[in-house]
Amino acid sequence: MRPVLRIVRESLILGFAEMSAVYTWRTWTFGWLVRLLCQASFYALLGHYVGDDATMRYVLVGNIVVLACLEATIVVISLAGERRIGTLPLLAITPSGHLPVYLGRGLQWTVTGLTSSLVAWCVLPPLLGVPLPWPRAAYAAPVILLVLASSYGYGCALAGVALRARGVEWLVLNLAYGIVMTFGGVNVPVSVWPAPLRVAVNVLPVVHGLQAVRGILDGAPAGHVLRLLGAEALVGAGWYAVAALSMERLVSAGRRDGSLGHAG
Amino acid sequence: MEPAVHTSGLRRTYTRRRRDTVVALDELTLTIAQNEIHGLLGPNGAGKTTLVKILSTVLLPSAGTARVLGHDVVTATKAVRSLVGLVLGGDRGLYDRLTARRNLLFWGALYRLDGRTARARADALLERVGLADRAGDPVEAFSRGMRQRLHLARGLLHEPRVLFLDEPTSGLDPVAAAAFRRLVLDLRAEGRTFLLATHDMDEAAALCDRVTLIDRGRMLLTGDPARAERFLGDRECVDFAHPDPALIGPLELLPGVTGVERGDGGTWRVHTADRDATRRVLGWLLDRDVLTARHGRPTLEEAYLRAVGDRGMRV
Repeated sequence: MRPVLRIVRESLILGFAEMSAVYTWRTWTFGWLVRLLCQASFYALLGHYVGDDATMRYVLVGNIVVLACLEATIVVISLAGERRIGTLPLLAITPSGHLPVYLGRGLQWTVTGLTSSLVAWCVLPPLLGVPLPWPRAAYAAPVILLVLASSYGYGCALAGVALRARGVEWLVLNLAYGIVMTFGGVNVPVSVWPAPLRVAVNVLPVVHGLQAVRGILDGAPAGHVLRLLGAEALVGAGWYAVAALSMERLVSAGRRDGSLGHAG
Repeated sequence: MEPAVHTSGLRRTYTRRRRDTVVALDELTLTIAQNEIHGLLGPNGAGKTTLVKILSTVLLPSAGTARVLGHDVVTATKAVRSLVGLVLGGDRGLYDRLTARRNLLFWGALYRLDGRTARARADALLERVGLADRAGDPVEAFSRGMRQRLHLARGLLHEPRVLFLDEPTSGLDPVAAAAFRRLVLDLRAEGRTFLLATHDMDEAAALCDRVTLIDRGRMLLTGDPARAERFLGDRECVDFAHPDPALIGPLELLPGVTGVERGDGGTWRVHTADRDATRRVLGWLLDRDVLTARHGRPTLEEAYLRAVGDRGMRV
């Protein structure tokens, strides 16, 4: 276990070092974080404009929780960077194997994702006049953590695809997040979609976790909430399995066709 | 003793644009003894990097076998990976935002070194490659030579017995390249084996115990650098000056003349296949009142280029 933890630690250090090329703590806080808060507020106010207080709360909660997914899926970009800087073949031939690194390369986004989502959870509802049932609302925090974890697995799985088809990482990232944002019950309940789509969205991260958060706020029975959490965890585990397979295939196909060392 | 590297009938093809198959390595059989510095010489596209990739398990061969210290690169991948170090040339393969020391600690974690060992080795290697004073600087501020030394330090972190260096001095200034070569010689003294893929003839002559010349994936020759020089340098050349280009046409037709190159300011270089042809050319020039001519041998690089043919930028 210790070697894996050391890889995770070094990956986090690397991740934050790379992040510092884009943000300082000030620009992250007053640029990126404020932009996310504005995004969630915009949708919430739109919800109030077209609906009522309940709609506003529905949309606000959805948009706060989905921030965790938005940031976690940026792992697609971090992993694509490995091809660009030529480290893919070097990573693939280390005794640890590529998987721990690949899965750890975007962990910094889980830290920022959790921060963004929790800050929004604490700041936006009182700011917009949306009452949450405290202290029960605090139980949302571990659920957001679970959503973050499943979304990160989703991002890693898609990164495996993005790494194979070069130059598509931004397309994959935006599609990945866009699909969750549109169909994952963030602004519109999943129940309004046609039956096949309703079934299909069950494999997306966020969907069950967000329903669990709504259940907590509405005082739903613990059993119901736990079932939803189990479903979110299962979906996350599925995406990690896909990620492992996808990255394994990336390396094995790369060794066969010589694509491992190509620049992105 | 088990050879450090042994390949037999090694072949690698790539499929380009679905149907077009390119042969990168063609039936390559090569043995490199332990503690040898072996140069792999060839122009761009000769197959050098493909061989390095196969031996370091980055790439699978299409046919044939390759073994490193007795371990098959296809079936005993794990064993091979712990024995070899891959050092790439150029700017890629390092994390620019991390410091030199942090880069090594990152790779140390991947090589499953415990924290104390990783830190000790990172510091020792940075000292050894002359980067100790810059250990805390981000790699993005490093020159090409410093990056190259850090590449080597990274490749040595898990103390591999066989090192594959792919164009390690490409783009380095002469001073940095010489320092890098000294470092390689020091490391060989510790018992390591090197396979050095390069197109720099002087580097191969200065460093290598033996060299293999390859072109278009095929081996042309394996032997000590002097033998390679003989192979390439049975050819000789005659340099002279003459203002009239009309002289050159008949000269090219003399038996044993393999080519005539025009130099600056009315100078010419005649390439000959052997000593008899050189005598013939000198006599022929004397008959035409060319009284000043210099007989010599082309450099290894010139001879090599002539041996593999002049195909310009094509690979």
